[in-house]
Amino acid sequence: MNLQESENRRNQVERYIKGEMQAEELQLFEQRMRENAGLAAEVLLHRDVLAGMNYFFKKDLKAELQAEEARLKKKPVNYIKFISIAASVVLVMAATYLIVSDLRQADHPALYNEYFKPYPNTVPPAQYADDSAAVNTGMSYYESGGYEEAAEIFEQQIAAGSSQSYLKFYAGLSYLNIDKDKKAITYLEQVVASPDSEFASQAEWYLGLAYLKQAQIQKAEGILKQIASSGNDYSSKATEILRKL
Amino acid sequence: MQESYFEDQQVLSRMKESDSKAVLELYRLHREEFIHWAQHNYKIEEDNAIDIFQDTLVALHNNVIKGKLTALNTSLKTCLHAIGKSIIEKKISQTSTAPAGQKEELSTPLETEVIDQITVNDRQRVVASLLETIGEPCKTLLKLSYFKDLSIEAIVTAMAYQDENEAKKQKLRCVSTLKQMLKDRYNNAEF
Repeated sequence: MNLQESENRRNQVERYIKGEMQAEELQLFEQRMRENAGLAAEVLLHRDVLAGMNYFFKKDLKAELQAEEARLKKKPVNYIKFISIAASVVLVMAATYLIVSDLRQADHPALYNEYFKPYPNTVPPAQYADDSAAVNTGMSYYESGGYEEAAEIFEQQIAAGSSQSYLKFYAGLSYLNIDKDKKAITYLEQVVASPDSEFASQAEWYLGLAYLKQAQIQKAEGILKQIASSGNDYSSKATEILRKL
Repeated sequence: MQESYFEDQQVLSRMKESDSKAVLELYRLHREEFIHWAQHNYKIEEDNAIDIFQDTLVALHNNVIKGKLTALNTSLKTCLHAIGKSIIEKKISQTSTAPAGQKEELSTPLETEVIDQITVNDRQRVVASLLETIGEPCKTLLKLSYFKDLSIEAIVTAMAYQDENEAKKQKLRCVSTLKQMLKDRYNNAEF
């Protein structure tokens, strides 16, 4: 069965399970199930897989909320006061920025915002190694947007001597997410400097974006040109940004 | 839509687009008020009210993702209270007679599940345990595809795949891997 056939078969089974089939199609499909025990078993299996996933991800979302509850209890924050202060700081910074910058520079943060997307956790838990429980906690924070806590844990693991390059990559990304750009750049530069790292090309891309965010245009152009000519997954996006710079 | 619901509607739209921060923002924004409301109207302990609020947000998320809650004709706060009320009554009905709460009603039937009361069979429970070990990118891909209900096009963007074909192949591989793990667990006995 080729990709399209497999895709069609899976779609059909899912539409049957979700009750999305029209009368005639439903009748035909049920007829096929009566004649083909394999298809009937596949439907039952797929139904359990869908229900199991639904159950798991609901519990997973609740676990994220429980983690958020634990964070709130740990660090009671007056959000209204915090947002007021943050808004004031942003307003002052924005006013200063508009006064001292020219129109061309004003495009850089917008470009960063346009292209930046958080990178998912792609490290299999089996590869966490070292203090896997701590890394697991860090990754849970990372996946649920607790970037400050995640960065702290990854940094502790690095300081403890872990040689896993993914820790530096995710530490860099965590810092980039909470706008601690200089720390982000330090870690991402270290990953890029280790070409054997499985995250070298991803780190290059995010380093280019971090330079852009910091208005370090020469550095951003340099690394984006390198990405554009490398032919990797980020090449076309790097080319797009270079055209807009 | 009334002007005052505009921001509520925007958060729901972000949730629908799988913005992972939207649920956490709602959690922080409505937590205190919801817990006070639940404790005041149903005389329940704070920890219980927190647990109910978490179930309420999971239910809200699923209603939005499944398209059961699209346009708000009331404030999000009222909507959360309506879902919360239903969840509280389900939880309380297990132990005692439910006291009369305020009259928050849902204008349309929404999912109001209590997570701890979800009924699953053995195979479904095993699937859930296998997802703990399936690793990446499958865990994220399956979550985006089946729980967040994202299109293949949106998954390509979210997970930086080269094109839709690559994402489709990976999705098929992940579903097949999960099924194979399930079969292995049962030594192919029931398949």
